[in-house]
Amino acid sequence: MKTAQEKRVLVLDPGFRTLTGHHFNNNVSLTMAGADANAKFRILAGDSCGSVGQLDPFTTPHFATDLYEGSVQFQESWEFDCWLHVNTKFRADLEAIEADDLDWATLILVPAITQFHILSLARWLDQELRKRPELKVIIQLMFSPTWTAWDAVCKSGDQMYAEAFDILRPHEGKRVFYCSELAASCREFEPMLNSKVQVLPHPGIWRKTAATSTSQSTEGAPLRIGYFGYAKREKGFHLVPDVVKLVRKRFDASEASFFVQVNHGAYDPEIVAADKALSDYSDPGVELRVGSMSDTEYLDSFESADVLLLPYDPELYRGRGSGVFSEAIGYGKIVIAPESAGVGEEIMAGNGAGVLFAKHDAQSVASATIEAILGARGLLKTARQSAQKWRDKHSGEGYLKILDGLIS
Amino acid sequence: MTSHTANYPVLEAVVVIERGLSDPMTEDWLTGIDLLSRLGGIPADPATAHSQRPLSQHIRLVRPKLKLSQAATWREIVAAAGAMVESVEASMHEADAAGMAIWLEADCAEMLACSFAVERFGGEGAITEIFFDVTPHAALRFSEPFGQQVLKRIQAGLLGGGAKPYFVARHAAIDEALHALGAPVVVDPPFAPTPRSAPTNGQTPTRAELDIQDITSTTASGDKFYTKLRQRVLELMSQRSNGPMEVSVKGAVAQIVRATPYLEDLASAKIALSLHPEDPENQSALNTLNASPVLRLAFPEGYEDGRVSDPDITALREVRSRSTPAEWINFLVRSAHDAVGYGVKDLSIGDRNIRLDIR
Repeated sequence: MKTAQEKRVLVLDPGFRTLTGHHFNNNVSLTMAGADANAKFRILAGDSCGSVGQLDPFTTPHFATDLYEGSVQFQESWEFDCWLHVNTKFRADLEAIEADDLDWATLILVPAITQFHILSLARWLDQELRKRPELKVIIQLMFSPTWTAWDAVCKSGDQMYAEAFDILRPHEGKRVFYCSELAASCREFEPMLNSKVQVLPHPGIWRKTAATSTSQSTEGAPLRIGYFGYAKREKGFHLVPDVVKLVRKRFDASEASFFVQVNHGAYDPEIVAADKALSDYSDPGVELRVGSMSDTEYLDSFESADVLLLPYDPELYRGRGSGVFSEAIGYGKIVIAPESAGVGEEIMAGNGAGVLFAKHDAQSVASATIEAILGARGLLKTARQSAQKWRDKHSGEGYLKILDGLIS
Repeated sequence: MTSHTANYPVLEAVVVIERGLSDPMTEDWLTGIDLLSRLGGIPADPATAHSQRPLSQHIRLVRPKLKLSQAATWREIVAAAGAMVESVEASMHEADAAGMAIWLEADCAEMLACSFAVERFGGEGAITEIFFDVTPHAALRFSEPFGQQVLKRIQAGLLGGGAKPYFVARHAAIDEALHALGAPVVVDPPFAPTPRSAPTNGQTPTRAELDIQDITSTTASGDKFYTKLRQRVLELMSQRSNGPMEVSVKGAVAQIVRATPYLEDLASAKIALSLHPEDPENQSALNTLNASPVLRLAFPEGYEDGRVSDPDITALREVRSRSTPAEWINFLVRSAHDAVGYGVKDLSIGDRNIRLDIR
């Protein structure tokens, strides 16, 4: 029997497929916080999801459609093809959700969705909401309408979102609530909606170690600059070799060292070329880590950095949030980020410390990095002061608190 | 602006597909008759052609399950295309036998359904060409970001099935809209604008306004002017349906002249023209407009009664009586430069009746 305060949250997370990564972290964070917040969770994950450790009791592999899926029947019409293919397939996944799960739930949480999935989601939700008058829905608009998982720019994404929002219009603000991670990404969607898009930070899992455990605290150690995450053009990986070389012209290995994660799918020639350029660059102060890392290794490496390179392309990245960015702020790092993207806006709003670049090229990113190194002492102090506040906000507890405010 | 001109072969059989051809009073029907008469010797008299049996050998009717409004969303358009695929596929098989299909007044859903259908039975490869007579509204929708994707999918799907798509533009605005999107556009003589009046059938014309001055004032470059103008003309045309329409055009004459090819798209509309005498291009402008086989100039509302209160009207009539048409226009324009306020109407120049308002 449902009690008035109890939340029974059915999480639809087709992107959750592995024991690591942000989908995993978010779900762990939420389920851990749920116990104190009288919230219970059932997570419908991607169908290839194997054992996910502590999340196993909550998780059912379900979605054949991946969150990062596309399908190109004809090169010229790939946007339409993806839209048609993904929506058709995703609708079948949604229709296959057990009635028992839907009857159990008081809230459906969609932590991420794309322009290629949202039409089928909207149609299905409209149908289920009409059948279940108590049910409410939170949709986290994680990606800009132009985003794709494969670095292409989707020009018709706005129309794809707008038509889906139109279907859910009767429920909007009453039973369907839209959220996004950063203020900038909320603004991207608000023109298409009648209601305000709420900021709902993605919850992270934070190590209890102090945010000050950086190499800078070791007297005489070089300042460590890190690049982490999946290597794509939208994340500016192709600029990294030149940035490293330009910074090296100004600071030697005793003053600045680099840790670069090189993790890509080898489908983009520009990224492959950048990988090769880094591999060919012989410098004792540049450490490359090829491939993916376990959570422990990732966090160990992350915590050893003082400055995080986020050479994101603002045209592609736009208002979207970033796991690496969030971790950088939460662990008190200095960030190098684009001025005209959502992540840069957060720095300008005083939510962290960093140096922003206006132009998306290696020279500008390198100049920002050099400026950060020169001002590291003061910037790190500010960064560490902001860290705890960010962690509190970007936590399972913080997430559920905002969620409560939205649906109550 | 015009891409190329196609020379249609005279074919033994052509499949023409059009959902509205059952009604012989529509413009679609007349166009179908006109086209078939050029292609296959069908009698061109619209009064009798609809009862001619041979027509049925050439025409396949397709009736979509869902009649779409012009405000249809893309999801509705795609759904309608999906719902039509089976019936369209049957027609496409017939077209396959004929080697060629012509779809009159094709809207987005119909073209997409056609593409889906050819994709489904693709591989037989006998159908080599499909001509879509694109509606103004479809051209407008194709200009949207999602519409561009749909247009590309239509092309790619048909080409994948071995059929080359051509988009037939009966109007300059459609031609330019599709050409700008990279679609293969055919401006074909059978489809070229003709000064045919739309049948009024006693209907009151719909009134609309095309404010070119506004377009001019909000754009900086000529390209933008044409883009916006094209968009507005397409919007007007898509509103026109089959009924008569009177369009009042407001703007400097120089701008109206630049817009002439687009205004001709509104061939069945009366053009109410406001001249701006301070514009130095008025003289040639009037001649250009007057030379159009399609435009019929008319006064704006409020000048219909023919009475002109200007005290100099007598002098004007004298000048008119001893002038050639060209001299008369020149005089009007020169006068208008000097003194704003003349109102003149019901001029007979040569064999044309031109109604002007100079103020």
